[in-house]
Amino acid sequence: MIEHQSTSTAVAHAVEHHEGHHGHHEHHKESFWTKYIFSQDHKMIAKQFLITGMTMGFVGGIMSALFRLQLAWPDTPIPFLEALLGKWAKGGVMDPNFYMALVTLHGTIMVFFVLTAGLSGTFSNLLIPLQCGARDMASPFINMLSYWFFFLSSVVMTISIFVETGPAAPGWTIYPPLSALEKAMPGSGLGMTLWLLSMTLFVISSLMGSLNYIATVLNMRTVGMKMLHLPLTIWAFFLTAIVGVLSFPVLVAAVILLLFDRSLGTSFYLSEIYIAGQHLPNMGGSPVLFQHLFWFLGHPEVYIILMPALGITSEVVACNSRKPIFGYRAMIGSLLAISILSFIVWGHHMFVTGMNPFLGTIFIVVTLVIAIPSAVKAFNYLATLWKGNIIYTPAMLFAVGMVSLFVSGGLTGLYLGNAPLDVVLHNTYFVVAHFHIVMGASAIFGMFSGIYHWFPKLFGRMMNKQLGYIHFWLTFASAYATFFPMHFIGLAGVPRRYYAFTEFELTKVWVDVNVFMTIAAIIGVAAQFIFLYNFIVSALWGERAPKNPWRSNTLEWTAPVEHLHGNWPGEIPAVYRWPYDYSKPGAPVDYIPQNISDEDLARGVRYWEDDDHTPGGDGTTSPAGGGGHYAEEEVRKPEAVHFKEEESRQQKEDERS
Amino acid sequence: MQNVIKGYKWFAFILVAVIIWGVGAPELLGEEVREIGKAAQERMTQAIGEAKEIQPEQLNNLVAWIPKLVILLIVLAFVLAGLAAKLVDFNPFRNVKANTVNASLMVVFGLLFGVLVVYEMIYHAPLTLPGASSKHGREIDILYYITLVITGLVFVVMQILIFTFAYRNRYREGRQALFYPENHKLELLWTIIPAVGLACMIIPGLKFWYDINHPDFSKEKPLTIEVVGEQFQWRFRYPGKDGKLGRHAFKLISDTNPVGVDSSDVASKDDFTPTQKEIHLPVNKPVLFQIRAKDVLHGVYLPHFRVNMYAVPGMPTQFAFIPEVTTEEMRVRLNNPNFNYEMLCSQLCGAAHYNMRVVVVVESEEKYKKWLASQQPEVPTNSITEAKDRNNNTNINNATQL
Ligand code: HEM
Ligand SMILES: [Cu+2]
Ligand SMILES: [Cu+2]
Repeated sequence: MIEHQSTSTAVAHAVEHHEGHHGHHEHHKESFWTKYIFSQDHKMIAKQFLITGMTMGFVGGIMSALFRLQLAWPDTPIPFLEALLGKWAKGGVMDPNFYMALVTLHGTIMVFFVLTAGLSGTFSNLLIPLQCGARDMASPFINMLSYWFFFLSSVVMTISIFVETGPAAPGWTIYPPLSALEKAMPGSGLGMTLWLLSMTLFVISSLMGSLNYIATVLNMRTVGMKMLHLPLTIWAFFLTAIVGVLSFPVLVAAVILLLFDRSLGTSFYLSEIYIAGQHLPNMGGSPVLFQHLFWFLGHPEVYIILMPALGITSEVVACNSRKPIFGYRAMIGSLLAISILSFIVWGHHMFVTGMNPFLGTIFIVVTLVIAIPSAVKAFNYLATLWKGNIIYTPAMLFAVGMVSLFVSGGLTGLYLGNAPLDVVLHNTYFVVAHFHIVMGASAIFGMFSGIYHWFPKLFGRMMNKQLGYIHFWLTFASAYATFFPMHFIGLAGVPRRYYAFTEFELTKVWVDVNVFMTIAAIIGVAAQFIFLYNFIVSALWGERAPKNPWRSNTLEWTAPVEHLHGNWPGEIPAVYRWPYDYSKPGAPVDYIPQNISDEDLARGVRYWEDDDHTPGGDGTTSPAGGGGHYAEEEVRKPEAVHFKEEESRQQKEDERS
Repeated sequence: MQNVIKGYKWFAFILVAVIIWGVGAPELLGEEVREIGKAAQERMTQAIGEAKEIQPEQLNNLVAWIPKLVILLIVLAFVLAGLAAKLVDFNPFRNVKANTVNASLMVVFGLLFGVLVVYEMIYHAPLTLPGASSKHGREIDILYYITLVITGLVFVVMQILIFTFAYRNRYREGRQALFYPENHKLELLWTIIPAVGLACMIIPGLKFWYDINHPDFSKEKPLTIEVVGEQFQWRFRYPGKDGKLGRHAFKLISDTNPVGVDSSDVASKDDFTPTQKEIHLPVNKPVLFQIRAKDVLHGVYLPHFRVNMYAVPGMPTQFAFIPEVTTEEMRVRLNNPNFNYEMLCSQLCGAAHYNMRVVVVVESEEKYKKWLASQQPEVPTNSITEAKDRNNNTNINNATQL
């Protein structure tokens, strides 16, 4: 497959190989520590990110189940809560401070640890070198550091749960003065300090990762891999990394100033505060300043979460529809537009915080404009499905679900982005519905899609598909059942972050709906254990993966199944085409990998595997439609499959003659 | 291990376990837990009954039992299927192509999603806020309906297309996908159409935003009320007969002068704080809230009037509106004699954030005058103690004990 590389490229790779790595898999043996723990191999680091992210995800998910219990049955003693939370749930009734802490940690963990580090960290690490055709990241060492800072950050955040005064509890947006004053709530003591420390470590990790991703994409693409030959995944990871590098430092600035206010007596965010019977000396600061700094990161952050999910969806949808992604350039263009616009819309989180209303005017316009590239993406996914030949792997199910959620959630952004409407909706459950659907659910769906799709690449084994199907349908149903009613609760004027709905006429009405949503949420959380089971069992004992199980075009599937340090045993394959030549007329099968040149095609190089099970995949019938593994009948034994195929082939031939 | 999980049988059992654990817990876990479920159910029926005057029994039967029955049936079906599969070692899905099943489920799901949306529209949409009770609020409502129509249309069309495409274009033997990488005209079209739709929302949005922030006081001077947020209650100060609020100063805040009124200012002599957890507003008169916070951020939120503005320590904010519907009229309109306008805190401020209720009474000019007469001007010296029942809402039970 690789014999067509010119000598000059071979030399280039040899050099690159030599520089980029301290050796090759064959050359030296690694110890347990360097292979599994302090690994500098991007594939291992991707697994580390994934497993840490998933662990945090389960912590965050269980937290949400706990506070949903409180919302559904406020004041009702639930004895097991006391067993679990001790003094924070005396007599089985959750303490309001702890409720807030759970909400805060749930948000922080999901936004940063799962959907930022868990998502970007896993897939950028795994796919950037493999899909660009590089042997590893630009700096494997910094890559390793990036993971370990993330790990430290997770450890600190986890420790903060067990502090005596409780973890941080002012919401994931940690607005001061609440987060600055220990007297304002117990969580603003040591818990908040640990939160700030953890997030600082997190940002360091994220910056190291992002710089590496950018450098790798720009400098280490294989021969022939023009920027416009990159899969959309890489484009998404690349732009995400740029957005991250430009916005995360601002969060660090905000966090450090907050640390100063908390510990050194400065007044960046504090002014004229009278609390617990005392006048504080701070003068001249502004809490709104913090909001500006926070949302200057915060808004780009939501796209840092979403864009990798969009990238993954593009790839999975194209591959499993057996169709080129519709409007490849428009997809890149809209990603670019979103990246740029995401820096100038942060004020839409602050329409009613006392920000100058004229600024609000500008933020209305830019905010609604960002909906255009988002809409283009949604339409393009739809056009990709149209006249496709869709194969429902679990990854594809999650990708389709992602598109549906993205549309539902994106549309509600148009209510919130329009300042007059936001007056009614700000800080209500409508906002909670909006971002859980467009960011929470849809990005998680993107992440699941990625995990199911690249599991064979990560672990060399296949995941069980039936469990995948069940996982998808339960998750999809529970996502809508949990979050859709929240729109109406918000439209009824119920503010978010309420410990109980019992105190207002306005809120009481919704207690029964809370019961329904809690049940849906618990089913959703429980369904994730199906996934966990499938993940662990398949990673250890799953069916061995073929080299290219989804008959995909991208380069990672040309690398051997077992992980080699350096990815390809010989030369890195050169690239001759874009990644979306699916069902191209004239091709022998319904895909043409990027490393197959037109000459190869003319020469009739056989790039597909026999066990592709592609109807017509034997090259006898030209432009072939595709079924692949997953379109086969489900539980039949492999022999049976072959038998049936033989039969149908026989039949076809009979008919022809 | 070749075939790790013999899918179908395990599903049945995992699913059953999940459902029983998640949903059935109150039903199946014995007396104590069942009591909890009952109590919650009673409270919710009561709450709904009060608000909507629906017969509690009706609700009990409809709302509470349908989901339970459905779930029970599902559980039952899966138990039976699982058992059958196990006993006969029979795989009911043997001859079913997973691809077709999943594609069909897309349609089923799309339909169920439609049912959910319609259900929400029928049962939950009526529980949302009634039409605005303030002038600018009616503009906001117009914007809401414009947005609802546009996004609603896009939502329905897009979701239908997604789920039907997902079904119709499923893999079938002998079919081939269409190689169709781009179509610039089409792409241009669906860049422009959203742009037009957005313009329809942006233009009124900008106009209404301007209106909200530029209230017209040329005809009538507003009633200025000071709103001060603190953990965990709202304090109000009315200007009294002179129509002017006395000065205040941060340094003057103390236990006995909770909002820091400057008693050396003559204008402060007749200022008063309502003596109950409620404020009264005259109908059809502009009201201007001057908003401050003493400790942390709070949010002044009067959803019926479409009013929402942060209370920020160290930075005064304001919000002007004209209440147009009296409490009485609203009670008639909603057919709910217990209705009250409520003011909430919209910005998280600590443990009892959920419990900062104030009742807002909008009434006719005469009634308002009467109420004014019943209020005592407050002498903001250090001798004054807090009005007795003003702070009823400090009984934030477990919150304050910490
Ligand atoms: C169509 C484009 C979108 C528009 C116009 C939009 C608009 C808005 C606005 C105005 C708010 C603030 C609401 C408020 O606090 O009152 C908001 C909140 C939020 N949006 Fe969006 N949004 C869009 C898409 C997205 C996407 C794609 C994501 C994430 C992937 C996202 C994530 C969030 C989050 C996380 C919040 C809540 C933050 C918080 O207060 O905790 N939005 N959105
Ligand atoms: Cu935003
Ligand atoms: Cu509050």
